[in-house]
Amino acid sequence: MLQNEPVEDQKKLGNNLELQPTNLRQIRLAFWLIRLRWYYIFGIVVAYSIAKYVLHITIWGLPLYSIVSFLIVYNFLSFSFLIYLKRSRIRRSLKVVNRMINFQISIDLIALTALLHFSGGVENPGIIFYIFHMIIGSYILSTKDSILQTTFALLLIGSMTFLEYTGIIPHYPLEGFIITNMYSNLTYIICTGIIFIITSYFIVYIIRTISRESTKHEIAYLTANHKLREKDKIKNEYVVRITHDIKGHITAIQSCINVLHEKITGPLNQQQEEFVNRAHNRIEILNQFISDLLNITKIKLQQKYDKKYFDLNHSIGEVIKIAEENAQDKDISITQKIDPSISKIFGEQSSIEEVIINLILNAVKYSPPGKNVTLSTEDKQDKVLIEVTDKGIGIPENEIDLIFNEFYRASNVKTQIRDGTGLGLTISKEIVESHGGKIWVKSNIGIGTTFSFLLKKEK
Amino acid sequence: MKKNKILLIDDDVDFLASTKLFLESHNYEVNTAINTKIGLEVLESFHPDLIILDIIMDTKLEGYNFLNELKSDPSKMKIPIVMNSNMAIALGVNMRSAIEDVDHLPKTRFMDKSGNHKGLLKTVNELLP
Repeated sequence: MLQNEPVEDQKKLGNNLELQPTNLRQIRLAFWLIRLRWYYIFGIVVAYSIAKYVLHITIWGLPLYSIVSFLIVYNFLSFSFLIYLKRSRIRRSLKVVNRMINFQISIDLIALTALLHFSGGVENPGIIFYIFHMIIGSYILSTKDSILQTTFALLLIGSMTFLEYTGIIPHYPLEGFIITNMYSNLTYIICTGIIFIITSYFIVYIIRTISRESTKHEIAYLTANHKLREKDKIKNEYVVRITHDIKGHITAIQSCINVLHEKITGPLNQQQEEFVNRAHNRIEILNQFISDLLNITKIKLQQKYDKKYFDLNHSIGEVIKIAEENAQDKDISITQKIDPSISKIFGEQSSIEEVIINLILNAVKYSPPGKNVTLSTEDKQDKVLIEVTDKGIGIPENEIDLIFNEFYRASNVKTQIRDGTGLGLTISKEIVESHGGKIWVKSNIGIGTTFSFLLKKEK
Repeated sequence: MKKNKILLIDDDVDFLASTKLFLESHNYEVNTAINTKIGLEVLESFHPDLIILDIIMDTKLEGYNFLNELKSDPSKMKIPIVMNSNMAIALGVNMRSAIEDVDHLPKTRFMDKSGNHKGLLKTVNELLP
């Protein structure tokens, strides 16, 4: 049985049900079912309007509108419940979602039967819609549940036909459309019934066979994906641990070299000074590289940010203070074009500050001395646009798409400026995207570069 | 003129030796300790004006726990402390905001540990005018 397979997978995958493939699949299908129901509701209204106003068929509108109204409310409630279920990390969510899907399909069948009853009963060609429900049910549910739902559907059609035939409930004919006494023709009812029953179970069999195969592959794919993520997490934790140990040694070496570099132990001769300077510079680059590597790995491990409302303009002020120290060494001025209407935005302050400082320091680094770097902000309704523009060396056009990749450094900077790690932009991109934002770049060789990023203002 | 006294607590002997030399060259009197237990003993006799403290030593939060201990002792809570750590990111918490909490831990600064002493010197100068 299909349902046993997901349960087995679930056991293997541990306790985090939120991430488990079977749960994700069922939740995705439950959303799909709700989406289908919206199309279905729309289809009923269109079909009713055409039947009544174009084909002039007699249909009693009140029950039909009541059923449609019920379906709208019910679908909206189902959607809300599913959202709640997805967010609340209920441990038994798979069971709950399956029950919910079963319940919804049963309600859909009852609604369809009511619709048909008020629009010609067994005479209405819409009877074919039961088949759609059977296909959908067989695709989503287990074999046992599919057969039960199909049997339930057949009981509903059978009961409606029987009750209309015996006159226990009234028959509402579609006058002006088809012959309206078929509901009382026993031969027609029996033949149609037998064909319908055979077709229904046969469809369930076919769909279940196809679905079982595709579900198996889908679950295998999702499981592999899940395991890969777990392994990636373990790898990242390992990188953090190892990098920390390396950073400890590097810091100690740097500290010792710095004593020589600062000539604290006494003057150095020209050659000694040259090589101490070389070592000092390289160790600075290595230290920055390790810090960036630690940072990017931590960001990947980090599931949640400590997001709060913070004053963006205050943050920019703080960031500019730090950046100006570097800019002064190259006689680069930093111009601010701040939109005063922007006040607080929602995000992790230190991370957003890190993105801005990364972009400004990059702009300073890749600008020739004496040039200008501009930082601007602009209110974009529910978003805020932050841009850093320089008049630096620019990025080759064919490398624009690669610039945010890990360890990537543009070909024209590798030879000119050695102290880049190729991780700063990757870190910035990760942070911006983790905040639901977007980052991009426009550049012209020899003219300059603009890095832009959009952030949401609210939660 | 009386020199300001700094107590340096770190489990890396090379970092201790070089940073001690650097700070002494900038007119500070420096004493060192390899862990917080020795640090506490030195503290009682040396009476430092400032402490530079590593976070991860024998345990992951040894320095942080020591900081909390000092800041809850009225006789020592006024000593400025610079927390100096390699592991700010990997600790998984925003150490800067946890440490630079004026009410909870007065006169405390957080620094990402670096062998380039410039940043450390700047912070020390700010805290010991």
